[in-house]
Order: sequence, then C-alpha cells, then structure tokens
Amino acid sequence: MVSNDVQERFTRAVGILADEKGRIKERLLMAYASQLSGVHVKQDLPPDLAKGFYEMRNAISDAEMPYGYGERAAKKIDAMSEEEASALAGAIFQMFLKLCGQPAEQAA
Amino acid sequence: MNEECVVGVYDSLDGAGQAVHILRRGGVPVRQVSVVASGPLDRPELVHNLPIADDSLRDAAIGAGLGGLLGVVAGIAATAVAGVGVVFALGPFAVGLTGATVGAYLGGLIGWGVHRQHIEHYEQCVKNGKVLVIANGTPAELDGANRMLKETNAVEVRLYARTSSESPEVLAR
Repeated sequence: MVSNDVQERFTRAVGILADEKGRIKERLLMAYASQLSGVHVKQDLPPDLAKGFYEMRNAISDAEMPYGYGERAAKKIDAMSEEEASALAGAIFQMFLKLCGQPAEQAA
Repeated sequence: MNEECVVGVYDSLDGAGQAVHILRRGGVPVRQVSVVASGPLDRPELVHNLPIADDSLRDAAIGAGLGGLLGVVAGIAATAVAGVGVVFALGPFAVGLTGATVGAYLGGLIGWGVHRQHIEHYEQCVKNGKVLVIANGTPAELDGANRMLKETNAVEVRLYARTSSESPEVLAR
C-alpha cells in the first residue's frame, strides 16, 4: 500500500516534467529536488517499485552519501546528456503509472 | 513560531532563482523564503528573473525602475546599503528593511538560530556578490527545504535551529 503523500509526490513530479518551462534537464532537477528527493525507498515504496526508484535515484543524486562525498542532483543532471535525462524522466513516468495501479492508503 | 531556518549560498541570481523555484514547487510558502543579493542599480534582470510569486508584483517592480523599488511593492524591497550597493530582499527579510549595513540587516538571522560568526560569513558572501536564499519554518518544513536545497547548485547549505545560535557549530541534522 502506498501513502497518499508518495502518490502526490509522483503526481506533482510528473506534472513538473510535463508543464514546467525549460529544457528536460531543468525539469528533471525540479521534479526530483522538489518532490522525489523526499521519497524513502524502503518505507514508502512497494518492492516492485523500490528497485527501479533506487536505480533512478542513484543516477540522479547521491547527495545522501556520508561525509559529503556524494554528488547533488544539480551537478549530476548537468553532466548528463539530454537523452539520459529524458530516459530518467520516462522512468519516473513509468513509476507513476505503476503507482496509479497500487492501492492507496485509506483516509482515517 | 518558526525559529529555525536554512540558508543557501549561491554564486548567481540564476542559481538562487532556481532554488527558490524548487522550494516553491516543493511546497515551501513563498512568504517563508527570502532572497538577499546585492547589485548595481543598472541590472534590471536582477528583478526580472526572480521567481516572484505574483507576476504583477514583478511587473510593478520593473515598471517602477530599480531605484523606485523601495517600498513600492509588498514582498520585495530594495535599499542602498553602505559599501555594497543595493540589497534586494523578498519574504520576511523585506520587513523593516533600512539603510543599515548588511551585517546589521542580516542580524535578524540570530532569531532563527544563526550564530554571529556565520552571520558575518553571510555578510561577506553578499558583499562578494553571492546570493543568499533563506527559508524559515517549522522543523518539518525545514527538513524538506534543507533536502531540496542540497540538491541544487548551492555553494553551501546550512540548517539552523534556535537552540544552535549560541554554539559556534551548526546543529547537525
């Protein structure tokens, strides 16, 4: 079961990828930094999505690496090609579609 | 009462503007975000490119001319600051903006847990042409803001809590 918060984060992320102005790399940074960076893989996502999300996150950012050795999303995305960024945006969209098929938590 | 803040330092207004945009899309209320920068009066792009929430505010500010920004629109103010030029501010830092030094102007950060040594550091950053993005809020809001800003092109990002103001070290989160 996926929380409403996670569903909304993916919905907003996809909205940003679709609606924001700018090149795909700028939109990818916006979508990841503002929405998806707050998703906790183990506690928020079902197993069938966790692996894909984990791979997507590692491709975009490892700012959470200890002692500051990781690279932030802005730097990693800037180093990407437009094709790589587009592929990651597509991966986010695919995860969003899978989430749409997941049961959401019921309101208390 | 919000007694914490996160401060990001950026090399350019473009970078700071992107950070503000990310914070806004991430749900941080724009009234809780401030941008502090200095610049000469002949740079209208400083205002034009800021992601001000209301386009009418930006248009009014541009139409009024940089020299006339002071007190023209709510939420953005500019003032001549000794030794720096013009300091622009949005959000809570626009309140009570005076012609004081940058250090005195940033002194209000003490209320949000920023140690004096760091305030002096930020003062120097602004004088050196860097741009500050300051978000204040509840601990939960600032955890999110801190996480978002760390993914941007910030030169540095620090999270402060009110209880850390007397400690020379930043409260680690």
